[in-house]
Amino acid sequence: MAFLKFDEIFDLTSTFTTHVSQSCIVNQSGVTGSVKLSAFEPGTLRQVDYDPASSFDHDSIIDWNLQYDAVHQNISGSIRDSLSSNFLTETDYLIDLAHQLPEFARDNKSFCVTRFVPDWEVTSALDTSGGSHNVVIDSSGSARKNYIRKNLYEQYRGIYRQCNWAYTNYHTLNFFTSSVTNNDSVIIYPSPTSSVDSSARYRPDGPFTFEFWINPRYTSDSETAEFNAGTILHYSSAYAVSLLTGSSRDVNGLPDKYRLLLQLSSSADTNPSQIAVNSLPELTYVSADNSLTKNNWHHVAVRWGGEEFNNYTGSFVVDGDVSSEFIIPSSSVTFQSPAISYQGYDDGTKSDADALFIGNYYEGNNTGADAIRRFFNTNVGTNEGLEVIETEYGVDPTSFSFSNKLNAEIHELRFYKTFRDLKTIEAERYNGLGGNSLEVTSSQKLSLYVPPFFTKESPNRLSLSAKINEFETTARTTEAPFNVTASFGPAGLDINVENFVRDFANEIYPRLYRLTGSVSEIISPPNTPANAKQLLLGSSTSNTRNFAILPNDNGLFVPQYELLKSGTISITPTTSSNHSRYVNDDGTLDFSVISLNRMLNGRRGAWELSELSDNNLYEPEHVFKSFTGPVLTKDGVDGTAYLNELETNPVWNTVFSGSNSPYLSINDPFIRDNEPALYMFQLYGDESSNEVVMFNIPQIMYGNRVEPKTLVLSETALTGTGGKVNITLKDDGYGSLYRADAATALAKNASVGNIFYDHGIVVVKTPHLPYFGSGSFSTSFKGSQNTHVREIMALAPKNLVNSSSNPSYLKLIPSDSANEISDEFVYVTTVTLHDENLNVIGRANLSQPLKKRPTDEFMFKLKLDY
Amino acid sequence: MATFKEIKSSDITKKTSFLNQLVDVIQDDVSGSATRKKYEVFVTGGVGPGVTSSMFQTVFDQDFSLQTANAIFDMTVGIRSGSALVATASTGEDAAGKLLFPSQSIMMREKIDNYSQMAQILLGERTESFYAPWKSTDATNEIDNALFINFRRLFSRDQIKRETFAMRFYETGTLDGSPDDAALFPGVKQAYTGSNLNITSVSGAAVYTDVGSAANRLQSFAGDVGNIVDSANTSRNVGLMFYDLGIAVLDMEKVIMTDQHMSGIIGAMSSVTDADAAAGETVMGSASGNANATFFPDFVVSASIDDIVDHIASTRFSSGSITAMTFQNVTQINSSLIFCKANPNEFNYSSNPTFTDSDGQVVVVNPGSEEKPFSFVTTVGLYDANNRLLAVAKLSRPVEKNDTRDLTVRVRLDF
Repeated sequence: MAFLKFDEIFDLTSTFTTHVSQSCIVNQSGVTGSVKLSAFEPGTLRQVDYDPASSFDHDSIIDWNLQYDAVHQNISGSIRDSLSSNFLTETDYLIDLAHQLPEFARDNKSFCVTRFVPDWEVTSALDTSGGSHNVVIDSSGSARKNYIRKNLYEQYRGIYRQCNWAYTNYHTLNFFTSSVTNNDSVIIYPSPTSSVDSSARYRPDGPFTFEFWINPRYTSDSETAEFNAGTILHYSSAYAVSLLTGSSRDVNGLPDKYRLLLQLSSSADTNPSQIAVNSLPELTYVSADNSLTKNNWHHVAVRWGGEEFNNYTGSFVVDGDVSSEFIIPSSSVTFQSPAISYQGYDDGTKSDADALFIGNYYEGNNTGADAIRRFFNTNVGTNEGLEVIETEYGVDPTSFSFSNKLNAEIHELRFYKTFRDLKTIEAERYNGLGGNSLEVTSSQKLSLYVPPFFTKESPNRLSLSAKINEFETTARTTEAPFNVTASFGPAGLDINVENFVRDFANEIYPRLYRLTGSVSEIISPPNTPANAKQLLLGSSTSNTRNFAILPNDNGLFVPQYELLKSGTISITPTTSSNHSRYVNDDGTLDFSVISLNRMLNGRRGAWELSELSDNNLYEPEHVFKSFTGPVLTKDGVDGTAYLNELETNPVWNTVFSGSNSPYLSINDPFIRDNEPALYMFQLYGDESSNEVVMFNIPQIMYGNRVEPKTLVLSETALTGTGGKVNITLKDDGYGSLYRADAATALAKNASVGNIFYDHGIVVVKTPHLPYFGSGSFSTSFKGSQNTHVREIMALAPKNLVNSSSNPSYLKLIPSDSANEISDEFVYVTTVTLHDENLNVIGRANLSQPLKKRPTDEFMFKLKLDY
Repeated sequence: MATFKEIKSSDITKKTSFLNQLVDVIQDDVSGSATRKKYEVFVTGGVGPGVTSSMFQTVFDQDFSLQTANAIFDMTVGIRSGSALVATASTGEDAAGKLLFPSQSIMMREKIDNYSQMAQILLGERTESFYAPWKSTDATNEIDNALFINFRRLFSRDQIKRETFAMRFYETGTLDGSPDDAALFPGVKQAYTGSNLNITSVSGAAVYTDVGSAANRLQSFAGDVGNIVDSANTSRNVGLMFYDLGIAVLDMEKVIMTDQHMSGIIGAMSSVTDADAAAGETVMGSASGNANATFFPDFVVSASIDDIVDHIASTRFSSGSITAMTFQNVTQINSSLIFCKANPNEFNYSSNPTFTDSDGQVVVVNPGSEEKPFSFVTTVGLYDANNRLLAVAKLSRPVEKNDTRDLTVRVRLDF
């Protein structure tokens, strides 16, 4: 053995990072891609010993040992006493007994990505007299949400993009048909005919240009199924623009390319499904075959300029290029000159077509009791807070149908009562209209502009209240992207579509036909306990409404938010400001986001005596005061006992009541000022949005951190869409999630959630992906694991390390070879590393002894990974 | 971190304990090809395309291609150099003393080397023979043809526990309907005609176990050893179990019915292709390839190690989800228990800067009152004589320490 002083220059440390790809699929049939805690196959090792303090199976282990010992002692005793030598039966039994010993729990433990939400959970509980109740309890997801919101978001704010409890105000209008949605839903903008000059908002009486971005996401269900023509815009007897399939088919025989159909004047009253593209009737035109591609964002302009522009030539312009042209040798395609009032193409038999239909095709005769104006009757004015056109009647038209629902996502709908040239279209198709540009384009006869943007303003209307099952409604305006009463009460989701469909050109709101979610319909009570979200899945209207607005992934377009400015602009709006919803977590104005804090605008809790007046838009400053009462329950009983329970019991159960749907309406013990019950808020004083979905990636799957830009989170066949909507989310490498479904450029700045790479936490904040991951979800990502490598070069120089301190050591000739020149040698078997006190701190054994002569010099490279 | 206190030798106690786990090897793991890995490192030359084989095979607890698979044991066969079988089969030695064998035999020298290697490890001398029972000198107890089962340390740990080993093994292979079998076993009819090399045994199960070894604790060069016996007749010794190394040595001539007719295709030094076998193969037990072949000596001599282990693993342990073999392992745990004692007047302060205010006064809960300081103990650090941190123990939750209570934290170090 020899000691050699080690030189630090031979001590090298380096680090490399490994990126292990992980994927995990969770669905009803189980989990694929989980990571096991233990490397052992369950059952190969079984626990004979147990720790009474920690083992769950010690009773069965005790029983097993008793059985084993009894048989074993019987065998041993018989052998000892020479009673028998045949123990085949006993040993056979002992072998089989091995299989009955408990497996190690750790060998069965595996990890995978888990989803959690801050919803109520429904469970059963016994009251003091032994009666059983279905009760709802707050899930741990709420506490976990607030831990993430108040810690991780704060920690990474300014480091990650959009690291606020807010999401980007960039959406699409989503139309699709399915078995669980209303296929006759439509968005109807009022367009009363002027009594002065018989003009109308959305009816061109001369040149026109329709512009919009469209993504045909959906195709037919099977090779033989028909893809119904879907109407984008329809103004009865004036125009209809519809989406048709092209001739192209994918490998499965399903349509994968599309074209557009334009019907004008009289032909606009023919159902687009009945039009044969190879034999077009008069005033009907189509774009080039396969001009639109499935799952691609396309900018479309449909225009006609009358006599003044290329001698009555019109065209379909797709992505800035003319797709096809048509000629209409007429001065007007909708207005029948010399009529003095517009009454449809046949001048006299029909009523004024006082509405623009978006997303479906109106089919009806538009006369008398079936007049279109009756969609804006007096009751609609009262219940939906909309403009009244039919002032004498309070009912809808009696005979009509909407059977051509669009199957596509659209946004940036514009309608100009003028002809726009290609240069202008190309220049303006990539950006939204904001501030000055809106004014400029308005002067160009902009007559419709639906981005769609979230606006704090919405019609004062009947809106779904706390009793989801009874479709109880209250009259109010809504100022949030979703119905906060339904959300913070029985935890139901009801997207406020009204807050997204403002026509900025006319500053009006449409009627959401079969989309309001406030119309009572029969929902079959579930057989098992269910919360309000699960119950609402049984409502086709609710499903249609909740998926009508989706996050926008069109990266070819940049929205402009100046339109949202209203009144006095303050960089730090107050709670009462029109801009209070457009703030980040610092309370700073940012029109591109929709804040998810203070959703109740300072609602007081049951423990508070007055409304909150602070202007902190991030977190309310609740004052927890001693209760002085009395607070009465809905039944007029003193609620002090409930309140005490609320204050002392962190898991406070609330009994649901109701005879046929016991899990839906809440028997509210804390009615104050006739306010609906807001249990989630009452429990925690937490006003932040609960319409979020969170995912936890276990650290065992990613190591040090999730590698940025590698996360893909998706769900095919979103719950509530009848299997039609697929959603994929990706991370942008800077902590923000964006929607990534389109095959064209993606809108990476449109944040729908966040990922915290170092913690494996994923948060989908947007409420527009309801139930995301509840049916199934798949994730894939790369982990990032640092491995540190220390390389130590131990030098055994010439003329050193030539002898052994082993007492049996003899100087021998290394070999019998004739050319051997050395007369001594040692075998090197081990290299040890010592500290300055000669304590062994490292040891390396050679795989085989190494013969070292005095003239030899060896360098041993020791490598340590950690 | 607050205060140092010297640990005295009286504060340290040492303890040794033993942990047992049961290992449960199911039949499918042994018989299945996905869980049994081969290492084809051997190849013949000269005649035909050559025969490839492993020197041993490894049985895993799951598909061995999976990252999480664990090797349970290795299995191979060996033949004693001085056995009558070798003397009969060998055609002599070359000038260097290498044994020579005819081309009809396969891997004879490798089988001999396997035996010698195991003898070197377990008996201390490569020329020694295994005897069952241990220390017998009776030639009838000498193991000439051995089946070695080497349990991996991951499962055998520090030792296999005495009297816990048991193995369900099928002495009889599937009868292949040959006239020989009919003559040998007239009472057995299995209605099967054809190759029996890889047909799972359905009858003749024996249980080989080490019962009785606790009462008679034998020692060897390789540590503790015990006899493996036939549980149907414990006076019939069939092998040895070396507990410390986790190796079982079984006498193939006792655990397997040696004169049973064997038939089927095995690898061979052959360049001929015919209707039944390709080049590099031969049909054992057929008219063209020793019609009267039996397990011993024909199969043991003529088959490669892979062919022999394949046959034993895939047929003699049967196939199913029940236990093929089981034992309990022993893990020795040495523990140091260090009692870290804090007297009432010790460890009541913290050096955390927030423990005192800007004036150096201890921060109290109620300002103005004269509360006595207290601390929350969260961590115990163990230092050497030069105040270098050696180990850290974390409490599951902070424990309050004040001048009215003493506190003893028991730090346990297992290794």
